[in-house]
Amino acid sequence: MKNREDIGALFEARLQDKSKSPRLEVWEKINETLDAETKRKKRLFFWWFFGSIATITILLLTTLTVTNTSLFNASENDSEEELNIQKESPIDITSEEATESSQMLDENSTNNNESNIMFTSEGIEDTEYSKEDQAAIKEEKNNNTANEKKRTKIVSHGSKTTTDEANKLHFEGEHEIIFDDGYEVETNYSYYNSETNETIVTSDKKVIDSLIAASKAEAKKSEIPDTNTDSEKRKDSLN
Amino acid sequence: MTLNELIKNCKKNNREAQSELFRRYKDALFLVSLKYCRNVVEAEDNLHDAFITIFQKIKTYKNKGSFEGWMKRITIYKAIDSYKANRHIPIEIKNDLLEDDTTVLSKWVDLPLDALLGLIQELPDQYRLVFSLYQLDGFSHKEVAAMLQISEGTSKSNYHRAKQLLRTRITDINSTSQIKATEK
Repeated sequence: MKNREDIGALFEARLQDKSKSPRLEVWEKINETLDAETKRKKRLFFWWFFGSIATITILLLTTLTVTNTSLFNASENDSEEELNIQKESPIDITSEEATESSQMLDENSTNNNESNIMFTSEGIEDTEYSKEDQAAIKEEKNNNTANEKKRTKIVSHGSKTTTDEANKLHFEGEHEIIFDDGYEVETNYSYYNSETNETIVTSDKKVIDSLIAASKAEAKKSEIPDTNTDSEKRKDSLN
Repeated sequence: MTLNELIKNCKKNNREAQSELFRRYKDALFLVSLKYCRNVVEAEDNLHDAFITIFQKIKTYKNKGSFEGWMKRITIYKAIDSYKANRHIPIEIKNDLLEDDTTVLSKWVDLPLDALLGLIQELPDQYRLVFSLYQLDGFSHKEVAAMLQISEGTSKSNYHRAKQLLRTRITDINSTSQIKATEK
């Protein structure tokens, strides 16, 4: 029984410092695997390198294209706004826009009223009109007020399209009214002579003033001899 | 070429240096593979995988500790990984056939290397791994349990049963040879 030992320890002792050679094919397989690994790494590097370059190029091209397109569109819009009158699909006016438009039109109509006021104050007050003429003036006034009402009405129900030339606002409704931001109000002064049926229309107020002054002077002159003749007549009758 | 130069050149993926490294350590590592694998073919495959991993990870070797020990650990872990990937259902061992005694006459174990390795390879996978790790390569039961993801008790039990199986096989071999000798 002295020679009996634990089988594990015996195995350990027998296998200590031993070695066994594998077949030569093992290195050949390892060599092939290493070659394949090297090729795979090279291929990965190739795809990574050229893939990166391609991605960067595409990104740059896309960025440039987007930038150019936006710039081109911006310049195209600007040139269209400046040069072309291009009708677009109608856009509903918001309440604010409608208010602004109506305010602008109100200003215009106010200007027209001013000219009318000038016309009436300067022309009608100091001039004697026949009944026909007065009727014609009344009719003209009515027309003006009716037009004003119509404009206001159209603005409130109209729709807006932008035109490029001089930023015109184009309103569509029962009637087409063009409102121009760049308008100039020209005030004309009229002078009507009922005796000669002549009408003088001028933008120079001084011309009208001089005509009125001249007609007043004539009227005064014509009144003085008349009064003298009346007093003489009275004296004659008393005598 | 010194070992340090060899390692340095292997880190540069020099094929000649890799070949030299294989030549120097193939036998020792093949024996390790044979202890952990079921047969020679599996051991060669394990050796192949171990060397590929060694060449890939040699850049991480910091010249601390034994280089051969570092390579042996890689070889053992490769075998364990292979076992885990193809883990089989443990073979039921009939306890009544096994004796508690695990001692044998020392002369019974005077067998050729291939015969000894053959006896180890015949062991069930988990028994073989536990026996090789604990008995032949000096890992503790705690380490074995962690490596194989089993409990420490299972490791101890597997080790004991592996020895019982080996003893049974050695006894059979010797009794057969004795019979042959008396017949002659």
